[in-house]
Amino acid sequence: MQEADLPRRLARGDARALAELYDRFAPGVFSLALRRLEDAGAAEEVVQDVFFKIWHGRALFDATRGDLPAWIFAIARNTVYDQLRRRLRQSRLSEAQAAMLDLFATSGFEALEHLMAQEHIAELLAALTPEQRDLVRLVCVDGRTVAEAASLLSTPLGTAKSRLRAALARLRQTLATEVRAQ
Amino acid sequence: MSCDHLDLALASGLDLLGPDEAREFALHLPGCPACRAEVETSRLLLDALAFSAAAPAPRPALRRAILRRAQASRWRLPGPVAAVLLVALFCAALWLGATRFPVLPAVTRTASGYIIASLDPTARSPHAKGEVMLLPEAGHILVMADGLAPLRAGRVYEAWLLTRGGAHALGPLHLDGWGYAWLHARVPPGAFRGLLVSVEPARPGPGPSGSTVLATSGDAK
Ligand SMILES: [Zn+2]
Repeated sequence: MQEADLPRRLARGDARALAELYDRFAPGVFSLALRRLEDAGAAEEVVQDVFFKIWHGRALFDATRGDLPAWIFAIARNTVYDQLRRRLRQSRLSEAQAAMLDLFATSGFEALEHLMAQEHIAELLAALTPEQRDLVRLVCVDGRTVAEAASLLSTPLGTAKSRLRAALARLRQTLATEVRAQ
Repeated sequence: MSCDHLDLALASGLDLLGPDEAREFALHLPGCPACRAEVETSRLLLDALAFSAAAPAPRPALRRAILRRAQASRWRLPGPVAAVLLVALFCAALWLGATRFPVLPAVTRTASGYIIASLDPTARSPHAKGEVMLLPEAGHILVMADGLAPLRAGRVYEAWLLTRGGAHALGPLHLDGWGYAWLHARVPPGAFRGLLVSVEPARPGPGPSGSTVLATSGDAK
């Protein structure tokens, strides 16, 4: 795929460019929405909304020459959390979702922006052991429960949980090191 | 800022805490800014992992529907409006991850001054939703809505700007045949206090007279 050319083709209204973007980013948008909304129908709706926003707002993206994955990640997150906020108002949140929304951040996250690029996530994953990586992929990317992942990997549930905790701590530590290095 | 509960913050994002840890952390969290920030960071990390290119694809019918829909509505926003929209979307998303927010606000003022307000449905249109994006200084406003039912002939979805002095007609939303609707208009700088969309005759009166289908809910000052 001619990545550099994609924003320009999109800005021209080339529907094939949108199809390429869809093939590359729809799985990630869907998976993010599914993780947070816990409902495949609602997640599909988010995918539609995100690609609607991409398609109808494409002109500026070309002008800003920004980072395409970061831009789409930002739109996707905004759409997902907007959906959660709407559910909160309709009191249709699960306990876990409500707990998540009931928090507020107290420090800046600008330094973590680079997280948004999918390539960078791949680099982060490379810092894990193969066992940790398999688990993270099944749970955090494919959206399996920890119990499902443990059974697929023939690992006792307790081991899977502590391995996943260690993996998250490792990812977080790698990130922190990078943020400090910036 | 540090705390020895930070690893719990991270593990809580995936429900990895044992019952005792979970209880302890739930009691600790409200009073610890460091852990709240860490929960926020881990949410961003988990979102970024889920967003990974390796994620499984949604069902193929969705792809067909979205691409058909894009081709069916080949209108383009005027350049400056598209600019407002995209910058606003981008800033909003960054802002949501970057700034203190009590729950998630209905009205977001981004770091660079864009205002994004959600439009909420009413009993008349439970499936509708929408967003208003406003660049207050330049006076551009963009209204986007979805899930509005088709209207009988002679009726339109009219957008009303709510100001201190009352409601002012902005014009009818353009429907794209798929239920998506949009309107770009100019508003006097500083005038925006909210927005509502109502069903009106093609030539609306001085104020909303028909059923309201969407409205901003927050205080948009
Ligand atoms: Zn703490």
